[in-house]
Amino acid sequence: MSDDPQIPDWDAIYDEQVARLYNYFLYRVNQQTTAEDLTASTFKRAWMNRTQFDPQRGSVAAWLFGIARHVLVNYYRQRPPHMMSIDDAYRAASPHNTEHTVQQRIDADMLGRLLQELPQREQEVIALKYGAEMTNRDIASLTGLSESNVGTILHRTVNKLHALIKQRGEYHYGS
Amino acid sequence: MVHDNSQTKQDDSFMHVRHSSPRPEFVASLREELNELDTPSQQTTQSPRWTLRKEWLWQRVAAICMMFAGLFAVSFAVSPEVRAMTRSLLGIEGEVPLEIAQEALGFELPQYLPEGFEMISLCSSALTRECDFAGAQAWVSLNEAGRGWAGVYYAHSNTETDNPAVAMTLSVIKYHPDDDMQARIEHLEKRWDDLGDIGGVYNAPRIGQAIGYQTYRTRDGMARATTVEWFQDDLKYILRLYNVPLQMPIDNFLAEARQIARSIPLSESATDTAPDS
Repeated sequence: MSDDPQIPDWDAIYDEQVARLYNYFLYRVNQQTTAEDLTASTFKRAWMNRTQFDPQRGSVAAWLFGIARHVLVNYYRQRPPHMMSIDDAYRAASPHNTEHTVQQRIDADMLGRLLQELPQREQEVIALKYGAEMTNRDIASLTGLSESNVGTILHRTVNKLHALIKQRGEYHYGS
Repeated sequence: MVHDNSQTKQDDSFMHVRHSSPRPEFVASLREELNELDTPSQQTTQSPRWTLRKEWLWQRVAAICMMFAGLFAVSFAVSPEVRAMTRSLLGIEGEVPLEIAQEALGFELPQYLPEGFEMISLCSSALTRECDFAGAQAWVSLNEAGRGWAGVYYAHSNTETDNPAVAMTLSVIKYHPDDDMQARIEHLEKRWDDLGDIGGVYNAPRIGQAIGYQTYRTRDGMARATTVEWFQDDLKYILRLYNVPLQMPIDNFLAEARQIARSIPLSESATDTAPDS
């Protein structure tokens, strides 16, 4: 815990942001192990460069997610998309899951697959909203879009996904 | 969950089904790794937990090294000759500290790539500072002329590369979401008339912009050629990312682009060759 209010408490920041970053990546790449790797890369980069963080230029979260987006771009540079790791495939097919968990897993995987089919901008906004749990205002600030544009993209994309899921008749949420 | 927009009042509960907590083992092990990353150089400025190593010899060696490093850093910052010598010794060209980039560009560099910016090139050795920033400024003036798009060079020290010894120049291109894509393509086609036909790129306007500008903004022949080589990876990456089809095999396209790049006459000033400047 830092006594100086100007110096961020990086331990607290880690606690606050690790799940958000992880879920942001999970929504983007749809793979648990990859999401963990990317989360780790982001934090390591941030940690190594945290003296460069300038609170005058934005929040820690915005800074972290800026790094996260770079990490994601580099990931796509190095790996072809739509690959499932052996670990993820094993987990998805695990016979030890209960029926409910299996169904949840199927729902989550289907949503994950559908997200991967979206254009990059929609994927990014959805991941920031539902993965990182950002407000529309924060998403707008991070992405350079207007707040109303973010809302419109979210609205349309969620509707589109909803329709796709209903069309395929596979989703069981709320049941 | 945060829902602050009235437009998303529809049933979006299913959107959370992918949400999950990271494994506690992962969270704990990552925290440990981060703590181990705390190097002495960072801790001197950042953390009160830093303690001097017990081995006095190492302390002195480290102090001497730091002193020389400090002297070198000062020399590097103030002397073009030292920078040139360093680049020559290390085989690095185009290393641009963030502060110099900031000063040269005259506007605040982003800490992150906002939406609408595409990373199109990472060049560690191709661009010299002089042609780099002349080009960048011309590119910005293009935006001021009302074209609706702009480019900046974003010099980064070491956070965007795994090789901390090489400062990377991250080149980004901005397109406005409301831009008329067709008009932009036509504009580019007109510009490319001066350069020759690089057909095949028109199905991929973002890539086309990158190639077009990058190849004729720089003034050094080797730099242009090298830039195109660098683009090969970027092109393939972008093609994968956006599933963009080309009208010809990528290797043929790159060969053409390379040929065009080498055929561009050198100019005394990069600004002279910049579009619409």
